[in-house]
Amino acid sequence: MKPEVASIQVEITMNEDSLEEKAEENKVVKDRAKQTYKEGFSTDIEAFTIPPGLDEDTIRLISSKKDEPQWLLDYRLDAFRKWQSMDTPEWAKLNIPEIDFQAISYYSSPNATNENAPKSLDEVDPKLIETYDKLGVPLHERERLAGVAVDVVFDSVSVGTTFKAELKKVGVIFSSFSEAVQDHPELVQKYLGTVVPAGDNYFAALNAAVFSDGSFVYIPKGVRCPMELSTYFRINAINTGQFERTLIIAEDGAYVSYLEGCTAPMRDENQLHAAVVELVAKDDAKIKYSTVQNWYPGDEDGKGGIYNFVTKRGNCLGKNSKISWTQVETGSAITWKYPSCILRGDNSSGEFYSVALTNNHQQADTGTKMIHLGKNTKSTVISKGISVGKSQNAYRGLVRVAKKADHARNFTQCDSLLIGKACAAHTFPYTESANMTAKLEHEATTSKISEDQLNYCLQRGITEEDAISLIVDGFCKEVFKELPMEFAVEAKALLDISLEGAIG
Amino acid sequence: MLKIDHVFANAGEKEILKGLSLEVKPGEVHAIMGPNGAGKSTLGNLLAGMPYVEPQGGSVEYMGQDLLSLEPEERAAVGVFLAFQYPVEIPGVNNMYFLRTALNAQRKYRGEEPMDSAQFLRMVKQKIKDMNMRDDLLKRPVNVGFSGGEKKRNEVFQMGVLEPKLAILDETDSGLDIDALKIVADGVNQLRSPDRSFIIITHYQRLLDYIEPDFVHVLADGKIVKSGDKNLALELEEQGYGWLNN
Amino acid sequence: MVGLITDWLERVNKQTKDSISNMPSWLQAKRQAALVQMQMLNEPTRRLESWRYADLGRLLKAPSAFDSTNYGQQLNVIEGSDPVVIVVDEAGYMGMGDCPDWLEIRSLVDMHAEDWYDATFDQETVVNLANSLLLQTGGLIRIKATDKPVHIQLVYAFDELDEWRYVRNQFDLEAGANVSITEQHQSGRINAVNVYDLDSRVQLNRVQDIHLNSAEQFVSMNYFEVSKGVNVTNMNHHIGGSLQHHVHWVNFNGEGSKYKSGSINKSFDNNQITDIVNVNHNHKNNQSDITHRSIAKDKSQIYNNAKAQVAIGADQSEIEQDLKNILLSSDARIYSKPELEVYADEVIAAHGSTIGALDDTALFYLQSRGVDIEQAREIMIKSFEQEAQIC
Repeated sequence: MKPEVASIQVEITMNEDSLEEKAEENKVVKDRAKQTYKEGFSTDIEAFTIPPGLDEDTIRLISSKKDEPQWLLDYRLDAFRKWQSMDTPEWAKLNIPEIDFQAISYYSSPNATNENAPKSLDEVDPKLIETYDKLGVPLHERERLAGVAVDVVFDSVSVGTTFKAELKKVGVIFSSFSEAVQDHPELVQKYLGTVVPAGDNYFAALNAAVFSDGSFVYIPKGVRCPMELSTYFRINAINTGQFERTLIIAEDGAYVSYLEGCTAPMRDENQLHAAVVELVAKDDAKIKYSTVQNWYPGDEDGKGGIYNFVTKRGNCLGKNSKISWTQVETGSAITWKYPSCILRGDNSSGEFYSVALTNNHQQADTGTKMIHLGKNTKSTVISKGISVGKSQNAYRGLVRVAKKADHARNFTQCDSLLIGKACAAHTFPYTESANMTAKLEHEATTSKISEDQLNYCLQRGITEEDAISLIVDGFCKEVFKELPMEFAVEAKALLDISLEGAIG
Repeated sequence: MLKIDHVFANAGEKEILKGLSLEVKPGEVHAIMGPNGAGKSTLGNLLAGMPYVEPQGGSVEYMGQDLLSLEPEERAAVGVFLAFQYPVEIPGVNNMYFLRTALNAQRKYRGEEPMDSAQFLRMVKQKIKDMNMRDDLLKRPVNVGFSGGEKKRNEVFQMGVLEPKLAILDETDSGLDIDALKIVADGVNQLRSPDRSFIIITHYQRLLDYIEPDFVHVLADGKIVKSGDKNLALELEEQGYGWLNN
Repeated sequence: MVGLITDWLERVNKQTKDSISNMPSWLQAKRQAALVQMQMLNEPTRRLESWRYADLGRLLKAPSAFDSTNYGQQLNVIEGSDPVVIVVDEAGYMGMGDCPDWLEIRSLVDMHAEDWYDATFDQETVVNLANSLLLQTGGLIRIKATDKPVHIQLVYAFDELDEWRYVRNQFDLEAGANVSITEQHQSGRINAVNVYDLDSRVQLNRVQDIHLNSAEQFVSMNYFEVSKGVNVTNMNHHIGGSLQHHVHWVNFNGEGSKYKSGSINKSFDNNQITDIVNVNHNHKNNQSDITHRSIAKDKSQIYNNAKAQVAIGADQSEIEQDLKNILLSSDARIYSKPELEVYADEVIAAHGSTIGALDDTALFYLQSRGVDIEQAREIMIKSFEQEAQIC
C-alpha cells in the first residue's frame, strides 16, 4: 500500500478516536484554514478567448472551433432556440441577480496556437502543470495517487487525460468530451441528451447550446473499471463561463467510480458555471459519482463568486442497476443543483448523499429527485446542510412513485445545522405516491449546534473552533464515508476551511 | 397434536428450514434451542402463518388438519398462539379492546357466543390477578410505550386470556431481568395442562430453569440435529453450540 | 385552467343591488378593493403551490354534476355541556335559544369597520380572495372570559346546494377566554374565511368537522392571530368531498404560546382533499405541533402540507411536523410535504413524512390473535387515525 493512503487512514481513525488527538490534528487544519480560499490564485497564461456575447453565430463558432459534425451543431442550435423561449427558474429559495448572458465569453482555450487539446502532457504549458501542482491535482502518472486517472478541464478545453493506455486495455473509454465526439461519435450521438433533454430546464438548455468540453466515459459490458476516474474542473479566464458536459455510460454489469473536483480563482466579478451531467446505467451496472465542489464562494461581503447551476441526472435504465451520487458542496456564491435518479429498471436503486456548507453570503438550494418507475426500486437520500454566517441553505427534494412502481421504497433523512444568528436553513421535501405497495419515509431535523456537545468538548480542553469543526465532521460522517478515501480527506479539510469565522 | 414432517421453508429469498421434523403430543413442553440464524424464529413464524415465511415442502398436521392451508387468524381460532419475539405496537388501540376483539373473533369462528363486556372484564381482571401482573396493562394501547419486559409479559397475559392449545414462545425470555423472567415463567406454568402443549424457542437455558421441558431439541441449519430430555439443555449451556460445526 | 376569475367577476355583476346596498359603506369599499386586486391577478393554475395537487376545474362544476355518495355519519364532536349553536345560512347567523352574556354576535352588516380583519391575499390565495369579493354572510362572534369553559357550535346549513356561498366568521376571543368552537358542515357549497383573533391567555379548542358527500365542495382559509400565553388545539376532520381545500395560517404575535393541530383526512371515490398548515414563528418561545393522518381510497387523492417559518431572532421556537399517509387502493394518490424555513438558530425543529400501506407485520399480529384481515385493517386504520386525535 502506498504511504499516502496509509497516512489518510490514520487521519480518519483519529477522527473516531480521542478528542485530544483530534484537537492536535485540527491545529494543522487550522493552519491550512488561514489560507482561506487556497485555490484562489489565477494563472497567467496565454489564452484564446472568443469575445463575450451569445447568438447563433457564437454557437456556430464554438462548434467549428471544435470541428464538430453537423448533427451536433444542429443539436446545439435546437437547444439554443429552446433556451431563448424559456425563463429563468424562480422557484428556488435563492436570490439570483440578473445574469447578463451577453457579457460572458462562451469559449476560452488556454493555448492560442493549438486550437485542439494537447495530445500529450509534454505539450501542456508548464505553467498549467504548475497550477495543478498548486491545486494538488496529480497529472503525471508517476506521481502520487497512482490509482486515479484524471481528466482536467481548464476553462473550456480538456487538457490531458492520464492513464489512457491502461484503461484502453480493458475497453474503457475515458476522454474529454471533444475527443469522444471525434473518436466515438456514434456513442455520443446515441446517448447525448437522453437523460437530460436539451430543453429540460433553462440552464440545461443553455449548456446544450454552448457546452465546450467535459468528460466522456464508456464502460463496456461486464467490465469493472480498474481505477477510479477523476476530472478536475477549473475556471481561470476572466469573464468566461464554464459549461462542461459529462456523459457516462455503463453497459450491462459494468462498474465505475467517478470523481469530480472544482475550483476557480478569486475574482470580484461573478462567474457562471452551468454544467450538465448524464449517467446511463444498464442491467446490473453501477455508477458511483462523487463531487467535491469548491468553486470560489465570493468574499466575506458576498462580492464575487461562482454561480453554479448544474443539472445532474442518472438513468437507471437496466434492471438491478444502481446510481449513487455523493456531493460535498462548500463553494460557489450560488448553488442550484439537484443530482437525480430515474429508477426505470426493476430492482434498480438510487442514492444521494450530500453535505452542503454555506458561509458568509453564500446561497445554496440543493437536493435530489428520485423518480420511481420500475418495480422494487429503492432510493436513499441523506442530506446534511450546514449554514454559517449570513448564508442561506435549502434542501429541496422530490420523491415520486409512479403507479406501476410496486414495492418501491424510499428513505430520506435530511438534517440542518445552524451556526450563528444570521444564517438560514430550509427544508422542502416533496413526496408523491401513486402506488399502495410503496413505502416512503422522510425525516428531518433543524437545530443549532448542540450546547451539550460543545461544552463537553470545551471541558476536555478543545477550543471552541476546533470543537465546532469536530462536531460538524461528525454530523457529516454518514456522507463522508461514501466518498473515496482521498476525497474524504479533502472534503474534511475543505469543510474546516469553510467553517473559518463560524464563531464570534 | 402437532406433527411437522420434513418441512422446508424460505424466509424472504433465503432457504431457512431444510427438512425439519417434530412431533408434539398434548400436554408436552418442547424446548427448541440452537445458535443464531438456525431457523428457530422461522419455525415459530411458519406455524403461525407469517406471510414472510413461505413453505417449500413437507407438511404440518395440527389436530388432524393441514395447518399450512389455514389463514393466520384461523390458526389462532383453532388454538395456535405465537408469543412474538418483537411484539408489535398498535397506537391508539387499548389492550382490553384489542383482546376482546381477538377473543370474540376466535369464539365466532368456533361457533361460540361472543363474550359481553361485563363477562369479559371480570374474566380479564381475574386473569391479570392470577398472573401477578398490573392491571394498568389493560388500559394502555397495545405495547405502546411498554418496556421490553412489559411487552413480553403482555404476550404471556394475552396467551392466558386466549387460552390456546398450542403456544409457541419465540425468545420470550430475551431481554428480561430475573423478576420479569419469573413472572413470565409463572404465567406459562399456570397454563400448563394435559391438553395444552408448548413450544419454547430460546437461545439460553435460563428460562428452562423455571419452565421444565419434557423434550429439548437442538435446531441447527434448518433441521433438528439432536433431541433429548432437559439435561441436553444443561449440556448445551456448558458446551455452547460450537460442537455443531464439527 | 380557464374561467375562474371570469366566473367570479361575472358573479359580482349578478349580485343584486339590494344585497350590496344593505352593506355599510366601509364593507362596500373592501369589496371594491378586492375587485381591483382580482382584476390584476392571473387565473389560478397548478403552478400555485397550494393548488399543485387539486383540480381547480372542479370549482366550476356544480355538485349536482357529480354522483353523490355518503360516507358514514358525521362525528358528534362536542361532549359534556350543551353548546351554544349558531347556524349560518343564506340569511346570516341564527342563534338557538338565549344569547349568554359572555357572547356577542354581530352579523356582517352590523360589524364595525374597526372589527374587520384585513387579510392579505395574493396570487397564491386568489381563490380565498374571491371570498372578500363575493362575501354574503357571516359576521363577528365575540367571546369574553368566563369562569368555566364554554362551547360554541357553528353549523353551515345552506339551502342552496349548487351555488357557492361566501362566508366570513370572525371569532374575537378576549383575554383569558376558554372556549371550544366546533365548525360543522351540514349543507352548502362553501368558500369560508375564518379568523380567530386570540388575545392573551386564551384557551381555544377548535374543531373543524367537514364531512362531505362525494359531490360537495368546501374551501376554507383560516387565520389564527395568536398573542401571548395562548394555547390552541385545532382538530380537523376532513372526510370526503369532490373537493376540500383548507389552509390554516397561524401567526405567533407574542411569546409563550402553543398551537397544536391534528388532522384526519379521509378520501374515497374521486375525492380530492388539500390540507395546508402554515405556522409563522414571528416571535420567540412559541411551540407548534402539527400531526396529519391521511387515508386515501379508491381513485381519490390527498395533499398534506405543513410549513413552519421561523423569523430572525425567534429563538426557543419548537416545531414538530408529523405527516403520515396510507394508500388503500392502487388508484389512490398521496402527496405529502413537511417544510421548514428557519432564520433563527435557537430552534428545535423536526419533521417526518411517510407514505405507505398498512403495516403487514401489525396486520399479521392481529391475525395471529384470531382477528380476520378485514377487521384487522379496520383496527389498524383506527389506530392510525388515533395518532392525530389530539382532543
